[in-house]
Amino acid sequence: MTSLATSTSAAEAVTAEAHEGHADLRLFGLATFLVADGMTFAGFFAAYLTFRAVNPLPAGSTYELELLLPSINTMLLLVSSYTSTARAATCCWVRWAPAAPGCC
Amino acid sequence: MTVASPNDFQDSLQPQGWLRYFSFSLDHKVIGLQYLVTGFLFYFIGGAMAGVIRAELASPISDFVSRETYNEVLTLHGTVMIFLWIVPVVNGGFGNYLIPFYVGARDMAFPRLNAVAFWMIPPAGILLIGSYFITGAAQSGWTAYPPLSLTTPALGQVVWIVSVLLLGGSSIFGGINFIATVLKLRRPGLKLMQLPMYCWAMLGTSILVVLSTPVLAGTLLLLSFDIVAHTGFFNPALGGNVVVYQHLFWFYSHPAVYIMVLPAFGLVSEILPIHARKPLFGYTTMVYSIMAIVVLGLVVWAHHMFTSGTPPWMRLFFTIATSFIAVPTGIKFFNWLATLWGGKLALNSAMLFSCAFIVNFVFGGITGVALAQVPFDIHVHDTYFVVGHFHYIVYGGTVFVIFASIYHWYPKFTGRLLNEDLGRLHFLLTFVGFNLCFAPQHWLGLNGMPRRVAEYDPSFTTLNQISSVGALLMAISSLPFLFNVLVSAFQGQVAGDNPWNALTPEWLTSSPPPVENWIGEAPLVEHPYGYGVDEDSLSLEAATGKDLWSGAGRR
Repeated sequence: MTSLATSTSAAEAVTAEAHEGHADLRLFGLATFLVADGMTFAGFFAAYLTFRAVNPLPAGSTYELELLLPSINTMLLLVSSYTSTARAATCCWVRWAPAAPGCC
Repeated sequence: MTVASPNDFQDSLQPQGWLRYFSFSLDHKVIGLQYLVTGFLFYFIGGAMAGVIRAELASPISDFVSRETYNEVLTLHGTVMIFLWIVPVVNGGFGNYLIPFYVGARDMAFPRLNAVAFWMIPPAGILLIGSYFITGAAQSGWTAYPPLSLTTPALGQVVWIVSVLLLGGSSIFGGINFIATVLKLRRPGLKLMQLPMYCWAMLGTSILVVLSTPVLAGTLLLLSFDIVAHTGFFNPALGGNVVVYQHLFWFYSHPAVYIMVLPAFGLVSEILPIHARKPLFGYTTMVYSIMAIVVLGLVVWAHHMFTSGTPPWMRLFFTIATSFIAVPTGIKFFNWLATLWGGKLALNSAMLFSCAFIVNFVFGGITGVALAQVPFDIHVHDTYFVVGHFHYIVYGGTVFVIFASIYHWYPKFTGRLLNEDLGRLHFLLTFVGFNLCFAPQHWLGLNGMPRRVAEYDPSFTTLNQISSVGALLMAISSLPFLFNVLVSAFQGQVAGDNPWNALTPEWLTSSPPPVENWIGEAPLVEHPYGYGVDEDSLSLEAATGKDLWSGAGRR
C-alpha cells in the first residue's frame, strides 16, 4: 500500500495521464467559471436595477455619487489580484491543472 | 512532465482498500462512490427529519415537538434532501462514476477540482445539521424568504447560508467539470450524437448549474448582509424589497428542480433499453428535449410568485412558458413508453423502480401543469397540494431513479449482484408507502390545509394519518434496502463483468473497473443502444466495432 505522503506525485501523474492526448483544458475551465461568476454579478445588477425601478427618485433630484469608500474598495480589489497574478507568472500553482514547462 | 503507465495507477495512485474512500482521491470512481455514500447518509438523516414531521402531523395539535423545533426540522429536512442528498447523488455520484466511461476518458477533466467539490460537502452538511444542536437551526424553510429569515434567530440562519454557499460552490465546480469533460474530453472518433443519454442530461444539468447557482449564491450573500450588517436589500423596514429576493431565489430554485430531475431522466434512459432489450426510442428528440428543458427551465421561475403581486403580463408569460415545458417532457415520456413497447422486459428491481418513476413522474408532471395555471395556482398556493406535487417530482421521480440506478450499477461498483427478492420487497414497500404518503396531500391542499404548519384543522386528521402511515412504510422500506446493500457487498452473487449484457461503455470493462477504467485503449461505442428487438441481433462487436471483451460475465 502506498502512503498518503507519496500520493501527491502520483496524483500529478494521474492528471497528466488524464490529459494525455487532449488539449489543455484550463482555459476552457476558466472561461466556464467566469460565466458562472458573471451570473453572480448579473444577479446583483438585476437586483440593483429593480431597486432603482421600484424606488424612483423624487422629480428633479439626482443620485449623489459616493467616492471615498468605493474608491478604497476598488483599490483593494485591484491590489488583491496582483498577488495571484504575480504568483501565477512565476509558478504554476493551479494545482488541479498539469504543471506547465518551467513551473516550479 | 512524468506520465504514469497503467501499472503506476494500480501501485501508487492513492491509498488502497477502504482508506481511499476517506482520502482526497482523484479517481472519479472513488469520488463518485464518496458522493453516493455521503448522500445516502444524509438521506437517512433527512428521512428521520421527515419522520419527525409526519409524527407531529399525525395529530392536529402540536404535541410531538415544539413549534420552533418543528420549524427547524422542516427547514433542515428540505435543505438536507435537496442540497445534500438529491443534487450530490444524481449529479456528483452517478455523474462522476459514469461520465468518464461514457466519453471514453480515464478521469474527469479536472480531477483535483473534482475532489475539492466533493470535500466541500461533508463540512457543509456537518455545519448545517450541527447548527441544530449548537446555535439552533434556521427556521424559515428551505426558501429562507425574507422578512421571515430576517426575524427568526440570526445565527442559525447565517450558518444555513454559509452551508448552502459551500454546497452551491461544490455544485458549480462539479458543473464546470462535467461541461469540460463531456465537451472536451471525448475519446477521438466519438461524436456528440453517439453519447449515452446520461451525458446529454448531465451537460444540460451542468449548464443550468453554472448559469443559475451563482445567482443564488449572490442572493444569499445579500441576505447575509441584511442579517449581519443590517443592510436593507430585502428588509421592507429599511426600504428593501422582498419580491426581488423571490425573483433571484427562484431563478436558481426552479432550475434546481431540473438539476435534480434531468440527471434522473438520463439515468432512466440508460436503464430502460438494457432491461427492455430495445434501442432507446427517439434518441435525437430526447437530446433536443433535454436542451429545450434547459432553455425553458431558465425562463419560468416566476410561476412560483403568482401570489406575490406579479403583474398580469408576467403571469401570462410565465404561465405559457411553464406550460410549454410539458412538451419536451412529454416527448421524453412517450419515448420511454415506446422503448418499453414490445420489449423483452426483465421486471427486476431496477426495472420496477424505473417503471414506477414513469408513473409517479407523470402524475407529478400533470399537477405541475395544473399549478402553472394562475387561477388554480392562486387557489392552492402554499397548501399541501404543492407539497404533494413537489414530492411526486423529486421523490417519485428522482429518488425512484436513484434506487433503480443503485440496483442497476451496484454490480459495476462491487462486482456483486443485489438480492432480487429483497429488492422487490424494497420496491413494494417504497411504492405503496410513497403513494400512501403523498397522494392524500393533494386532497389536503385542495381543501385548504396550509403547508409548513405544525397544527391544522381537525377535519384534516384522517388524511394526515394516512399520510403518516405511508411515511412509516417508506421508513420501513429502507431496512431491506440497507441490509441488501451491506450484505451483498460481501455475500452477494458474483455478477461477472457485464451481468446485464449491456452495450454502454462502463460495462465493457471489468466490474469493478481498474483504476485506469480500461486496460488499454478506451472502446469506441458508436451505438450504445444497439440492442435490436431480436436478441440474436445483440452484438457488442456491432456496437463497438471490435471484440472488446469475451468470456467472463457474458450471459
